[in-house]
Amino acid sequence: MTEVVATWGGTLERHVGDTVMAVFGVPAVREDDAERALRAAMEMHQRLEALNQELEARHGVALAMRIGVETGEVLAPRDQPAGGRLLAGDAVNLAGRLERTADPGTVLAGERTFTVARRAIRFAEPVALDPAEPGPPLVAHPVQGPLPVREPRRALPETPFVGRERELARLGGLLEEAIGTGSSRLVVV
Amino acid sequence: VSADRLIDALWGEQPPASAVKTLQTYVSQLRRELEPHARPGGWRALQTLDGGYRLQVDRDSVDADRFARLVDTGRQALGRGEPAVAASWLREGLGLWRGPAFAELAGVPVAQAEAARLEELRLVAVEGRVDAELGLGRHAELVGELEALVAVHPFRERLRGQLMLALYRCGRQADALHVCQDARRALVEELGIDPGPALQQLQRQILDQDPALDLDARPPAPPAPEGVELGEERKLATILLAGVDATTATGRRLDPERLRARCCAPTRRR
Repeated sequence: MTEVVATWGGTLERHVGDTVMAVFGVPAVREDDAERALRAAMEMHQRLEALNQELEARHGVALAMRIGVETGEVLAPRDQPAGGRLLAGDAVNLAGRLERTADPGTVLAGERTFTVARRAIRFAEPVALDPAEPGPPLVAHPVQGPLPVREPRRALPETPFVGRERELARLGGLLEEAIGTGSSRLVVV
Repeated sequence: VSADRLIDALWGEQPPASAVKTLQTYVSQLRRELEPHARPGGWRALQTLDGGYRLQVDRDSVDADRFARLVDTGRQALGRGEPAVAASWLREGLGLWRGPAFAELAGVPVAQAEAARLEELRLVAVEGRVDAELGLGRHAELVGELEALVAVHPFRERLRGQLMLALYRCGRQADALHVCQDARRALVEELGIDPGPALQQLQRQILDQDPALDLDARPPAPPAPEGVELGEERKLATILLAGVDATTATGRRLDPERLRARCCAPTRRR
């Protein structure tokens, strides 16, 4: 499983009892961390299936795994190496709630993971996440599988930029410059 | 926590004869509240041990621990001379409070002791946050809040000192000195003691109009050496949590010990 997580660019951070936590985005953030995490989760299930065939044949037991994935801000220690870092944040708690709610063999994604990964991953209809808990109702998105072809970005409904006039003006200016001079301009956003 | 200790905490010296049974009922109710989705026989956060119970949870799941950690992080930032960072952590920590701690357990001594500890930590956090905001030049906004805090906690000299500094920086030297006289009167009349050296020194500095009291007089925090990273940082990350259970072919769950016994036994011949 460590290998699967590493293949998709994550790190396995810790084992707590019979739960393992993997992190995508620390120390280096990637645009598609959510998608990578979900792909890793699906592959973990596939690998386990293969392992289970062997376990069942040899020992008469099987392992059932439930996976929860959520994205959000976490507090990560800067000075610790990967593989034992304690991360804090709502995303960690939410991933735990999703994991506990998931059926064996399935992956549940949280709202933010769903939002950023939906162009690449197919999800089933959302389900309510422990409705007994106080606060606004949370939904979980069951992962069905990867989408065959990534939908191009422009297929998304365009959301207008609000309150970014200065930044937009600057970008527009640089674009004009680039067109006018025929040389490139670099902008870090 | 041993069952005896819990019974002591709940009923004191003379527990009813049914104390053990009642405690078990309470624990099972608590379990339902804490882990409505726990699978029968599965891993539980609230574990029954020989003669007691253990709550094994992620440290972020306990708001009191989370608060303590946020306060600690905030105070470390304050120590490094990063008031904006400190103020943000401390504000987040204080934001976790929803009224007095353990208010519903007012009659339980153990809870009261813990509530007192948390309340002290809350005041330390408030004082830290005020220090951070004073460092950010928000003295004008702080005066009203500090006056209210001093009224509730008249013997906390640090709050008095902060109020004096905020008033001084607002150009209200006379009011600042008046706060000091109030503090002295309260301490002498109620407790028979003089204000501590910090407050006395602050009073002298105000009288001398010591430039060290001005916001800009503080030396800027030394920059962190390049390439060395400190403390914690906020990151956008995706967290994957996978939980694993072992089951037999008939769907029965196995605990890890039995799983090991089974998997380490000689392999069946086919």
